Amino acid sequence: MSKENLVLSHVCFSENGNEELNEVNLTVFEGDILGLITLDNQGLESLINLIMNNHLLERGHVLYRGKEVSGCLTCKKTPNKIALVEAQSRLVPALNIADNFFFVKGNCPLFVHRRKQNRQIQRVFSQYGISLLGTEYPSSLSDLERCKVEIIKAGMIGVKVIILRDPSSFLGPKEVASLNALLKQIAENEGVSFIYLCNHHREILSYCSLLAIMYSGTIVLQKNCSAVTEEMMSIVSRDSVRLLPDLHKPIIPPVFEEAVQIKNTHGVEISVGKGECVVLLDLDNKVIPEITDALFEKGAPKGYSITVGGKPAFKNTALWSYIPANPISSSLFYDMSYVDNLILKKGNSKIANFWLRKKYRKTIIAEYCSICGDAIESRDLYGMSYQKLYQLLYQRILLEKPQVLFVVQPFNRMDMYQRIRVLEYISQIQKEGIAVVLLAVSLSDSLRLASRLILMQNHTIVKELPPDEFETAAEYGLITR
Amino acid sequence: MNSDNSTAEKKTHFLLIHVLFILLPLSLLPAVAAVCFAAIQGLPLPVLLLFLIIQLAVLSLAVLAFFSYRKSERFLHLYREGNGEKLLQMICLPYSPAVKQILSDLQKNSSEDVLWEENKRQSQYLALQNQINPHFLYNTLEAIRSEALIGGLQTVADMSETLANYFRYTISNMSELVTLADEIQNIRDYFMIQQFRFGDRIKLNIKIPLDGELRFYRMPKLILQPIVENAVIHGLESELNGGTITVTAKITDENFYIYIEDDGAGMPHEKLVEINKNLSMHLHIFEKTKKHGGIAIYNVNERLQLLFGAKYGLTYYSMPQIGTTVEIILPKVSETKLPGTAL
Repeated sequence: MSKENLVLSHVCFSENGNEELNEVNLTVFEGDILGLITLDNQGLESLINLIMNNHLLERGHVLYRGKEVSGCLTCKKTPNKIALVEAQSRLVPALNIADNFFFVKGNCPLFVHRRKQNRQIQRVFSQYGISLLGTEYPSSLSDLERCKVEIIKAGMIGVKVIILRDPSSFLGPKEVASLNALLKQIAENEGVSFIYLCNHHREILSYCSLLAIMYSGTIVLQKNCSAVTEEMMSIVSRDSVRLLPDLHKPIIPPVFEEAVQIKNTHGVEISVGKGECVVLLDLDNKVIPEITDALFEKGAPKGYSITVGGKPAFKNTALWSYIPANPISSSLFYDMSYVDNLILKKGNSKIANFWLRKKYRKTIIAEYCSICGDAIESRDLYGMSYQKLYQLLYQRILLEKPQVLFVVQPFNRMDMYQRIRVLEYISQIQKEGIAVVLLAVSLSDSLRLASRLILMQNHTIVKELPPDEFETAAEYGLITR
Repeated sequence: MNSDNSTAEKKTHFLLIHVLFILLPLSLLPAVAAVCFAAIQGLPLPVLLLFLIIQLAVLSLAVLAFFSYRKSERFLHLYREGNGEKLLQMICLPYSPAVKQILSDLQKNSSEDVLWEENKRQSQYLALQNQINPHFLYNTLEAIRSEALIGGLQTVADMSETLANYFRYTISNMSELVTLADEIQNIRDYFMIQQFRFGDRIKLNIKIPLDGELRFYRMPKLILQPIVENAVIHGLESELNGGTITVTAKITDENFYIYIEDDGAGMPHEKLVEINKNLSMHLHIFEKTKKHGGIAIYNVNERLQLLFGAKYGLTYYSMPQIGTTVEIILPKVSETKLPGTAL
């Protein structure tokens, strides 16, 4: 018989004067893998913060393993035994894996029997089919190994709820499948519950037992995954999709005119034409860092070379633009005004003498006022919505007019509505004749605009698929749509 | 408008307290200066010291009053939001005896025992109203059934039999807890009556294995039927293609969960929030604030909370065009009598 690991009942919670959670009801039972999709991202950060750290609520209560930990009168002062596994490592980098397991809790023994300790850790790992010795340091682990180690460690120290944040944004499809096998094993054997945060329902339906949908700070739907249909999910996102009728078919330019060429020493040669959108899917999570290196520096380790307009990319930075994963935190300057951010050259340098001429600024403000609205007058970017920030990023690309745009994981950590908006921006960029290369480790919605899907593994091309064969990518464990 | 007034009042209170806080230290300054002056001049100190001590005492009292005031304000606010009458006990401001008496009366009137008595009286009244002459009703329905059978009208005979079963269950003694199997049978009867009206447009799918231990768990009577009725009327009735109502159940170490899902019209986000908010309020608070009819689900919720405690009751999940799910949380009970009562 199962037990409730986490219960949120009629929770209302505000942070910094903003109402973040409004009548949230959520029950997570032992052994459940609950997939949580947010339609508008409102309240997600607060929800994670609340269930991990406890806060005084406006209404309702939070129970962890049957005990009230947050309420409207009192709340527990110490954090709950809940772990968060995400792109960023939570292992202590200066300690090896065995030490991370045994000594982080503070009960370090006086003498350490290394061999005995390593034997113990190897026995633990072997239960889960992991061949680590315990002497490795966190920096030497792959993302998949690191996630597995963090989850096993959490299970060992008695954590009963583990939040897994967007694993497909930093793991390849096979790695996600391998991680999910571990989740199922731990959930079934040890009664640990998982909250699987993700932005795509297909992924949740493939790996989770329950689906919850959050909208405007409320859990509006909680269903068994077996009862959820594709039709249902298309209704959930229908309102936003209906507004964007042009998105249904990928744009394929009538004449192929090469804009960029990607080569490596393993014989890979990929050409992308102007106005084309190509998805380069990295099956083993090794190719994207190499391509990024080749964009910015000469002589990338695996011999990748990228030429734009016939010249090496790193020499002609004006010809291409690059949007990294999570661009909101890394590609914007929050203390600068909206206009200043908009006209940054290559996203990080000012155009010489441009700032001195008020006439130019006025012209740009007048031109973009109709597109960006009142935001164009903002003196800084603090407090601006995700929607406005993404709009700024993509409008900047349109203003730059490069020949090629490289986007890494374009739908990373995005709510359902924002994904649709980003698709619209990419579609606009394509219409300007700019080649778009989407560097992805998960497909998410990438295929909606793609004219080609190139699957890469171990620095070689595994398969190249045209739009009518995209569904066959499912053979590789990919969630296609 | 109301909230504006309360905000304005709160602001005035805070302003007064702030003024007090500024004035007291200011008045302390001359006192300290006077003591220093007296010490320098060699004047007698005791009177001035006494004055200073009084000032300090007043200041500490003001600080204490300020924190008590903020605490009491929070408790009153939470009480108004429907978080239970126990909060009235926690108020720590020294009110006048009359105000104290009013608060105590208010607490008595809204205590769970009083509410339970009130709820019981209402249920008894409803039961009496329905029991005007149940035998006459059953006999009439039986007569209709016989006539229908003689006339070869099998559907009418089935209809009157189902209706008689339904009324027999609804009208009979409310004091005992019934099993899940009884409740399921009642919603099957109710659904059959509705199907005479809607035909195959609506379907009932009960995914509870009634040959297992689940059937022994008990609950108050007529908990499921009002929710199924709501699902039919508000969820499926307006749908051209009809829909399905699915009933599932789950058991944990302490609780018993029943889920009633429909794939009908669903409801907008604002309405969902309002319903869940009202469900979390104590009924006496909710009744003062309610603006619309349809109190059946709140009564069900109130009955469960009065019987078993505030952590039990109903929760709604809904999305437009997707449907509505009602989660009913009950304790695992196997006794037949209602706890602590003989209704």
